[in-house]
Amino acid sequence: MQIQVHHRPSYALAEVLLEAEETVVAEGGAMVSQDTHVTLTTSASGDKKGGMMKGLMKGLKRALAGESFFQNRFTANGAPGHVTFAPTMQGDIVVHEMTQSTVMLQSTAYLCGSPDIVLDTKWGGAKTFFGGEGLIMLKASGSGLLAFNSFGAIKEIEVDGEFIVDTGHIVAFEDGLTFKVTKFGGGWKSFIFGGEGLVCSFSGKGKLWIQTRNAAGFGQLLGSQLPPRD
Amino acid sequence: MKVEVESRPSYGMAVVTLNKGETFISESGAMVAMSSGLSVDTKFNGTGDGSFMGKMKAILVGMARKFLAGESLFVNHFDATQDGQQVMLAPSLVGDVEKLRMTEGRKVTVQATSYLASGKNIDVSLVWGGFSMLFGGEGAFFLECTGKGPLLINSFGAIEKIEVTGGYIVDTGHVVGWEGDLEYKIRKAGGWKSTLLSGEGLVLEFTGTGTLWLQTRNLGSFLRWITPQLPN
Repeated sequence: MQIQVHHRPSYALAEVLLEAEETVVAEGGAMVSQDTHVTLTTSASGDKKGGMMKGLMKGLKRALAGESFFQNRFTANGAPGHVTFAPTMQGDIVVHEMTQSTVMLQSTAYLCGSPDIVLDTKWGGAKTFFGGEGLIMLKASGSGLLAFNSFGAIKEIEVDGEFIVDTGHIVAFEDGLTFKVTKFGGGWKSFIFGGEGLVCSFSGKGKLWIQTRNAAGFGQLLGSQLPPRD
Repeated sequence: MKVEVESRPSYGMAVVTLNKGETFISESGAMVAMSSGLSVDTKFNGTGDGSFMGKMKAILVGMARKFLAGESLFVNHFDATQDGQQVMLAPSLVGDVEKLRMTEGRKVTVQATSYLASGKNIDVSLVWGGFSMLFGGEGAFFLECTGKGPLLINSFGAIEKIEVTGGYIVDTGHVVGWEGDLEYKIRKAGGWKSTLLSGEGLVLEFTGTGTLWLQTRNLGSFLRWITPQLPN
């Protein structure tokens, strides 16, 4: 499998090139176009292992995380094939190659990936809820290609030590990093008046991906200027 | 101090690298990410000299900027306690960020919503744009920036730089800022008939020689376009 990303960073599109009989798993509703010999199967679990109940539970957990309940599997039948995927929001896509590793994703950041990457949901802790970014994060582990998306452009940062990110700007991070949610600026004055609220303080060593725009911030700005609605 | 702008023009973000003892100031809510060796202080959005009167002035300017110009009442100060500390800053809107290098004697006037951040030696004050601006729907106040150091401005859409010599006309909703050597007056785009029918409304007419920055999209027009498309 190869994934090429076109039209970065504003209107990124992921083009997946599959070998014959190869499969790519994607977020429901993300498919833009595909060859006719690529067939779609839909399941709640995303992988074929496990029973129906297990699949349903995984789907429910994903739905709680703000992703779609169902995941789609696209398989190239008899010949190499191509499928393209795009996220809903305007923004960027990054492809990350995983080898027996784990990446944590902000709940709406998953786009598509190899079938050998298992997606699970992880409780982000009560404080991320107050950060306004969703209670549950997605945990992607395994080997293969993982594509994730953002609002705004994605910037990759190699963290070694400590690094602070506004909660609304986190896209993904490797599991070598741990974080705690803290008040911006460390004091009450900056927390209340600084306009940032809570931030994530990362520590450890690993890759971190941030997005240059914040969906909630954009929504508040536009919403405050729109006429009142019934 | 090093200031670089990335992912232009759609999602511009400034990456500011500070050495020990250096300070950068941003409008509240602009911080995307930062190194841990920065200390943050939140202050009133206005320049004060630390004296009681200076503080009162800062409060008044801050209040005016919040309620009259739609800006935040507070700004954040990022002070580097070690070398090589970074702070990344971005506006809420989709669009561009432009870095201006201010020098002594240079004055740049920007729309109130176009200010993003600046070095600590940049003085920002509020100026009245004139009654006619009230009807343009873009806010009646401008921010006048003077001093020495980097100044970051932001836009809705991409930023286009125009070197004005003589005269130039810009729609009020597309102005980001201009250099102090330019004089402006606000007027109708054409006659009364054009004002009502052309969809252009008010324009700023500049005279003189200097740089003008405009934005390739108009937030007011965008809001008017998207409103009827939204479900009830």
